[in-house]
Amino acid sequence: MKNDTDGGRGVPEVVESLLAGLPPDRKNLIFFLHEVQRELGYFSEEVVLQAAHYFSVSPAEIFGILTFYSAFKLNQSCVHQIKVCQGTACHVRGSEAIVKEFSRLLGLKPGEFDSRIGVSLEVVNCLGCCAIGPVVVVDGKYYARVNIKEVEKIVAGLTTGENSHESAEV
Amino acid sequence: MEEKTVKLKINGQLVEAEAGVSVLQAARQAGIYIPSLCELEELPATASCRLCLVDIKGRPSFIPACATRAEDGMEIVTSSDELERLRLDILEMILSEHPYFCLLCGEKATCHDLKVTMAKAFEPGGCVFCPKDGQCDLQRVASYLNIKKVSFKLRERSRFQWLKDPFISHNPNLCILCGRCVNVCGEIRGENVLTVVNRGETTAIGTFYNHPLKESNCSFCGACLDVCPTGAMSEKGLFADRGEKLNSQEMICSLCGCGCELEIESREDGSWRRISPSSQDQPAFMSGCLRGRFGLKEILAGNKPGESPYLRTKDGLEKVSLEEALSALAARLKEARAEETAFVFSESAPVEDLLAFVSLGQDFSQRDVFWYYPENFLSRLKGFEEQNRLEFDYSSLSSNQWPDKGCFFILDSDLKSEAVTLWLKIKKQLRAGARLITLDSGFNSVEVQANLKLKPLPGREYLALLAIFKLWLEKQPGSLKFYPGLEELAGKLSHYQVEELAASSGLSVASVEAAVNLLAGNNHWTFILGERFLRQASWQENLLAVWNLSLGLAAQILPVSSKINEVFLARLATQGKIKIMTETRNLEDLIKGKKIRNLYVYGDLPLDEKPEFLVVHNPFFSRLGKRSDVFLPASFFPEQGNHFVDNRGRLKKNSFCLKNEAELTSGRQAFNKLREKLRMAECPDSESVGSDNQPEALLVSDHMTEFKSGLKRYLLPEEMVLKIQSNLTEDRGGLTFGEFMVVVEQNLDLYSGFDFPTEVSGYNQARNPELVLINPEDVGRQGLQAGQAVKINFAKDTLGGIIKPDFGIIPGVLVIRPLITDSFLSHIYEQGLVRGAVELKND
Ligand code: SF4
Ligand code: SF4
Ligand code: SF4
Ligand code: FES
Ligand code: FES
Repeated sequence: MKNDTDGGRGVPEVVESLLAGLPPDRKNLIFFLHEVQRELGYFSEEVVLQAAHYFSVSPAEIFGILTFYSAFKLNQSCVHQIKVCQGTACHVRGSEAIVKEFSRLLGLKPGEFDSRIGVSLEVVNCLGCCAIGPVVVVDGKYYARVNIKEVEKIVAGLTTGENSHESAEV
Repeated sequence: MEEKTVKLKINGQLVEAEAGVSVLQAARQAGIYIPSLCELEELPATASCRLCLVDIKGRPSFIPACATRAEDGMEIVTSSDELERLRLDILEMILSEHPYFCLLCGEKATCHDLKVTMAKAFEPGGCVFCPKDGQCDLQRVASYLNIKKVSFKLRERSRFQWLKDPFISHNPNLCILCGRCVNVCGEIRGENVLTVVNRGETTAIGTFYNHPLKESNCSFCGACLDVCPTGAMSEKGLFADRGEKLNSQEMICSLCGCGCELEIESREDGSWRRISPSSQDQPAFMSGCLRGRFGLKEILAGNKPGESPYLRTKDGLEKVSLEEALSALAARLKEARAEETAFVFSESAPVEDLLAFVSLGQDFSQRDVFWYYPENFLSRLKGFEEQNRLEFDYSSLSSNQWPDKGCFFILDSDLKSEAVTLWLKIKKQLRAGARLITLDSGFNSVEVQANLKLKPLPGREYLALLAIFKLWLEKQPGSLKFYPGLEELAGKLSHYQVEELAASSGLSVASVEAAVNLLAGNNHWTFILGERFLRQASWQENLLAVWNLSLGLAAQILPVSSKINEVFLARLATQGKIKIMTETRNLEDLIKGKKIRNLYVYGDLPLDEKPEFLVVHNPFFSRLGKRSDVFLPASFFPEQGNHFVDNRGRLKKNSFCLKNEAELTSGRQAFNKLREKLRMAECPDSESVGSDNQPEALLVSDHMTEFKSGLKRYLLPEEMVLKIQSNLTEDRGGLTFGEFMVVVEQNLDLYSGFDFPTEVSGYNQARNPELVLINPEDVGRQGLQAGQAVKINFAKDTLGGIIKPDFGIIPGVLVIRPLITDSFLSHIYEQGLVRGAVELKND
């Protein structure tokens, strides 16, 4: 499973190490927020307060940013994020069946997350890489030309940690 | 700045406007109405509503007038069929989410009587309950555009109202997302409590993790109420006036040194509708605070007991007539020996009454009359100048004008709570590009806005300033103004390294360097001194360090006094006309030793020990009043015309009169009656003081510059060198586990014995005096939790508190803001920095 413990380090230490190389300039804020999302998977109030103090930005403003972009999560429960593209091209190539298969295997409807297994399933619009559709994105990692069989593998990978963020490069 | 104007044509009419204003403002000044919903003067333009679109010749498309600067030669059309159609479309779109029955309902005229449309207008959108009905900008725009229908189906948002907070409620269903509240909260007040959350259909006004305002560091300044164009942000419990006849009167608030002008709106039956800041030359949201706007209303609405005099009999305190109370008092004083009788006052009464009290006390006892002044702030400053024969440059205090462009260095002052109107002025300059450095060892709510925030260890402020000075000397000595003593100072400082000075002050060398760069790179500095800067053992060193720095920079000094009349009384003290009492233990010792038997307190005093005979003269039947032998009710400032001196030394006349004179006895009247009974002559000058023909008698704006022989030279006396030496060798104060340096902050929520958090409902949710601010790291380290009740043990006494983690506090420091209600608190307040240990409360 992904970093809920992160090698024994507590959340403040993780945040501190992320802040370490970063000048406290607000133009680095969004970058930092993405890092937190990647490392911790969600934003707790404490993390936001810590960042607000560091960047001299109001906590409320950061909260506004977090709620504006769907890339940021406020909820811990969803540790793994599965996004299935439903753009026109992917749709034509059968992404609907892929969504159904994920739903069946995970017992989740699109748009839901299961806090027990820590997985969310989302349907998204065109991701801008139609040529390799149908596209599935798991925790930031892109899977191209996904077929029904691969869905099972992906789901299995969730529990073995194969899809953890280290390999997830966009 | 040079006055420049631009000439433009609006709808064919030639209009002249100040350079720099927007097209919308230029039109407004010329009396031309352009519908607008998001723009507001003084607020940065967001151009979010798009209603103010105008046609400017030569521009390819319509552009928002609010976000367009008026330029010479512009030709503008503000209204055309096409523009109005466009605006109507926009308005219809806004109204597709905002209940519009109040705009279109045919039954509106009789609705209030019949209340039938309520059902149709599904509450909370129904205009019957909208607090803004009749004063709503949306209604104004709708009537200008003469809207007849809304073609879209109303998308009811059905969001929850915010009802958890005191004083303020928010109805998101009425919000048109103009952004004014977010802007005023962040840009004008510097609070940044409100923000826009989510996007698309679910966009709304929110707070940090959507907590209630009271948990979001909201100051309850009420500015968001002043700007909201609709009923979305409204004062709790306030409804539309429904054509009621309202009386509106103005008065000066004297609950703190700002002395804001407030507008009081009362109904015909005399009940209070609303208090809001008001001023001729600036919008409401540029002044005022929670105390004046919400607190005062509750006091005036009947929370003010103590209307009657009381006299202690064997059965306790009994209500008596003023005559009886004064006779009893006179009888006692006649027998009393002058030297066993003390006269003490606090600052809150009108100046004419304070003066009358001083002369009563002096005439009676031939001894000094004491002003309880635990800050001992301006007086210390003045004394320091005289002792060292130097003179700070106070021109920013005495002039009414702020320097056009200036930079600010705030030292140990949480300006937002100590002098909010000053902060709002500075914030305005920051928007115009001024720079701000803060140096604060305690809590400072404005430091997030600073270009540089310095957090030295408590009591080591001067070392931080010396490190800055020293580094400056090393880097660019030529840019320091030359005065005698520079070489000597440089010589003395040459024994120290910047690194060690910085380290022992608790700052990094990098931040010292940043400070030097900012200071050297900008002109026109004003050093703003908070009272905490002088309320610690090293206050003289602090001042010396500031002196040298301000000399080198040709900087001005602005001491921030937070209480009303403080500037005036400090002047009296400097002239030797009154004596200062900074804490009450000495007095209590005298009482215990029977040296003082009779005590007359005009105002309030934190006293545990009761003298044989105690007179309390106060607008409120205060804690002390309840222990008195004679209680005399004083008039409260809104009750009687009078004068006050604000934190910049300006005499302010309060002509507002709540009650007619016959019902009330002013301080002067009471003192004169007493004098009569004691066969003393009438109080001198009592009527002429502050009267219209000689207000100069009280004009004290020049109070700080009286001492005219100051030398301009750099200074570093031997004692200070020794002090540096000892501080450098000592570690950070050697705190043991659980021990903290306690910074004791100013708390203005105790006014003449009236404590807002206890007496005004909802107030303690907004500002709880029990909160103990502490760094989150310490919270974890000491095994504490947010919201936990703790005891703080001091050398002699214990104080209760509730843990509130705050990243603005440095580790090892704990910040408290107690209401100074007893002599123990007056003692630790006076010391400013004390040690305390935190212990969990087990009950
Ligand atoms: S009351 Fe003042 S601080 Fe609070 S949300 Fe409104 S504007 Fe902001
Ligand atoms: S609450 Fe009022 S001021 Fe704030 S965005 Fe909504 S309508 Fe505008
Ligand atoms: S800032 Fe001071 S003077 Fe102004 S309203 Fe508040 S308490 Fe009154
Ligand atoms: S449609 Fe799926 S990537 Fe474009
Ligand atoms: S007033 Fe100009 S866009 Fe709203």
